[in-house]
Amino acid sequence: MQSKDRFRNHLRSLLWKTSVHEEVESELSFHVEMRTRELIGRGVDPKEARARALGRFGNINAVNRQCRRIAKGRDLKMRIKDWLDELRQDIVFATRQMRKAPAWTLIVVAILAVGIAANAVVFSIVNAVVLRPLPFPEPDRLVRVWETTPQGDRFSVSAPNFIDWRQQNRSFTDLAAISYPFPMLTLLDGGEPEHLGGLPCTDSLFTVLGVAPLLGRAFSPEETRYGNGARVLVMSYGLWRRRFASDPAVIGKTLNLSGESWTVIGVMPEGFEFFGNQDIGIPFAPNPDFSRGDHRLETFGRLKPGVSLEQAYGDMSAVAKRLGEEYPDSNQGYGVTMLTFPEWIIGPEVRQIALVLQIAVALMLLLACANVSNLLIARATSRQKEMGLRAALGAGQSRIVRQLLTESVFLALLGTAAGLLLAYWAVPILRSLSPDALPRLDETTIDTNVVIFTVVVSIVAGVLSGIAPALQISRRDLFLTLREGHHVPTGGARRLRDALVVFELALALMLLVGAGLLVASFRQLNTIDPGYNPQNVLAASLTLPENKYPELSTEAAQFYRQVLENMETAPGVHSAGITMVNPFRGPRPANQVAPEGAIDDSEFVPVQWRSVTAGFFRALQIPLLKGRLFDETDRARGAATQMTEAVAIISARLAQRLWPDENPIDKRLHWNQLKGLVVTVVGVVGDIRDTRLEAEPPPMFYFFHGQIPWPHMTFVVKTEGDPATVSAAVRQAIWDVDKTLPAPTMGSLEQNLSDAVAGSRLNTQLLSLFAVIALLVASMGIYGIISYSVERRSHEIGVRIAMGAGPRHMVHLILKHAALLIASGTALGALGAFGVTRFLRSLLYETSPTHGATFVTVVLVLAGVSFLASYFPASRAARVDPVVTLRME
Amino acid sequence: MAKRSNALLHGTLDALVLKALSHGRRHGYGIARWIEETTNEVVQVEEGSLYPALYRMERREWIEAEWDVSELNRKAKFYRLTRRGLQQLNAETERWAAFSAAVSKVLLPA
Repeated sequence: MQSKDRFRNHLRSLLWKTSVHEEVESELSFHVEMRTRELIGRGVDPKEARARALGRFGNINAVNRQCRRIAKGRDLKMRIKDWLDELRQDIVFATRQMRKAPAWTLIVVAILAVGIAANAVVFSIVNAVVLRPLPFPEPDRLVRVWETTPQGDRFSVSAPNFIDWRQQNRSFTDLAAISYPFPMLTLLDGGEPEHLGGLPCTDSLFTVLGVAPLLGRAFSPEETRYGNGARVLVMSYGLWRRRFASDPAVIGKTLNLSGESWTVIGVMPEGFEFFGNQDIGIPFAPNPDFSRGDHRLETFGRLKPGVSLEQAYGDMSAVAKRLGEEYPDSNQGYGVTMLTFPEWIIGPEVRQIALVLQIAVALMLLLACANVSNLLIARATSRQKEMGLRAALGAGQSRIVRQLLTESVFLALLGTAAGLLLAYWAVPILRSLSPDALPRLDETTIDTNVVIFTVVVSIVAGVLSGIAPALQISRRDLFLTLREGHHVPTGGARRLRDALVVFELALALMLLVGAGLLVASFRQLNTIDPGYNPQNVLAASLTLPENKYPELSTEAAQFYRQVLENMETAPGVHSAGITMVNPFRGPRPANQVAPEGAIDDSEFVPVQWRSVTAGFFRALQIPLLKGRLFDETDRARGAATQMTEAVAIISARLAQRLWPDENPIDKRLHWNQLKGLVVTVVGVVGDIRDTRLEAEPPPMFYFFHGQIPWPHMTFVVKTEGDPATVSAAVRQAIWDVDKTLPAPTMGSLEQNLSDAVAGSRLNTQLLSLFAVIALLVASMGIYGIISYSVERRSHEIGVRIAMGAGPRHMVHLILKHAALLIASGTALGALGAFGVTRFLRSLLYETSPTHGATFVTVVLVLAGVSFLASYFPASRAARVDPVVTLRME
Repeated sequence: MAKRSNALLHGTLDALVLKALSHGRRHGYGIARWIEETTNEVVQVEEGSLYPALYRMERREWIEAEWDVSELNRKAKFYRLTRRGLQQLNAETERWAAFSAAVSKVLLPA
């Protein structure tokens, strides 16, 4: 029925190709004429008859217009129907073709599936990491603001500076701050005590971020006024659900936190994570009388509508300059620096990684398409008879092209289905492999965006794979093929197939070069000596409750001393120490020092500083170069709170900066420009990297924890065997001193180091995987073309062998063709690689984007593998039996 | 515009057109005449409604058109019923029967 309708429609369109306009016009005028005749037949005067016949239409022009409109709709519907009918036929036809060649179909679908899956996975990463908006309204107006030191580093902000910034700026709707360190409070409500991480934040944090509480309210300005001391809290959605069973009545409830009463005033919505995933927000009231030299606030602002980042920068710099003039001791030379949230959180490096991966998978998909093109041409040569028949039956070139494209797009869509399944399976693995490699990588999923992107990509891939073969095949004189009755490969098809293989090899080479460069760079990264031995070191971070162990208190000093004493006697422990910075995980406290007697601010050197014990150097095997480590006599000098004198150990680099030609031992230093504290150097140790592995070690300054007792520390425990075996002993050592404390978060130092290069590793692994797949697909490509070439020339080879040519000579003949293809492919690929590897520059560590050794190695690998792939089919030429081939004629 | 004796009830025109075509193919004028003759000129087809209805039914594929030479030796557009159109005719006939029976019950009590 359907095809009969179609046939009739087709005939109608052939025989009667009038426009809608003519159709309606002629039909209506026919009616008028017939009616006029009828009326005349009844004796009406001809003129009158025609007028009456017309009159019956009312407004005939309006009727005419109406009919035309409907007719147009009708024709459109017909055309769509025809088109869908043809599409259905093509798909039915395509599936029949695929059933005839299941192995061929499987290979094509598999190649496309791998290419498409790689695109889906990478796009899902890009989508989660770069494209998906941050969970704040208008994130582009959100700005992260830092102070800069005269040396230009990003610094946290001091409380009085923050107050002045907030009052004096004219660019932000408001500024907000959170304050380090984050206290830990213990929830004592009769149930199991739970340790809650608290985020001290100003009332403005909520309005600046633009996230209102789900229930209740945020802090009032009064509650965050200095001296108010209001004990109110806003809790995270997670805590509310976990601990309070999502009960709305929690608002107004009083909770006992570490022995004090706190009132719950709000619950934040799901998905709003307090920074660093803290459980509760508590009021932070900046103290206007606090030291301007003590930098510990992290600040955020929301730009007023219409204010650009540059304007805000100008405004804030002016404010900072005024403060520098007003408070020269603490603020001279200090400026500001700022980044929008998307720049801050996502950053240029991550965008670069995303771009590189996206380019890599695009190249890989192109390669897959070229290979599928080749397979389609190979198959099409055996289908020329069928094409000839279709042409003879009246199918035009465009119709045949469309049919072939439908086939290839259909194949690509099958590839998409398989590819998406592959991606569904791969994404969770990727997430679990390296959750910290990129920000927000843990949020990667195959969502609607990814599926839409993938389907669009696959349609493009289908058309790309199909277009060259389709044009090539349909261009042939198809009637000729029909007459000849057997396939005659044209020079055009052969050249196209050769060109496609060259293109494949070139793409594979480019991917291999990219991967090779990243591997080289990653190897460079791994040869970096961090300045300590991370082997068999357990890192255990502990946060102490603020009310029990205040900052710089003897309680904190005593606590850690006792725990360390316990630990060092535990079996399996070689040595144990503490540092305030868990390597590659913790904050980066910085300050400035200068030799005693320095007059000018320019004599101050920016340093990273740590509070540690002697055990820290022993556990990490950091070499003592001069002087001594800290000992108990240093503790006897007293805690830093009342101190005007302290001891310090400095790194070799800092010693070199301060006293290039002198012995630094017993030299004295000013600790920051306030010059309140004078420090005596007792030792010099080797340089270490504990913040960024690829950056040069910063000048490092170590206080003794006995004098600067920080409450939040990381134990480093050198063990005799696997560090995990002492974790129970480490926990016990802590609980033996204070059993109310939570267990520390533990890991191995080697893991920290490995995580420090997780981003590079992920990059390198993904790109290497893509490059290996590319190598395999390209090898398949050249294998296919050489097999085909041997088959095609078997007659010629047979004749030559019959004439006395040696079989080896025939193999050489074929291999010469292969070598030509490989040489062209690698040459083209190397040129292409020279062009694109500069995109990698910012991701490479001490490796040039045109690193010669990498290029040479990669060319050799590609040439070797593809030559091997050609050798197997080529060797078949030697086995051609002239009797068989000649008899076939 | 003189003798509009009987305005058609909404939807009835479609049924009448389909009925007219159930006996074979006709052109638009033929359909109009058939209706007028069969109803003894009681029902007067309004051309202003007939042609848009024909095009609409063609779009819905109740009827299909072909060009042929008419009795006057002129090219004319002939309509014929499709299978879908026949189904539609049956449905409309049933609906009309039920409707007229119901109206008759009210207006012409036994």
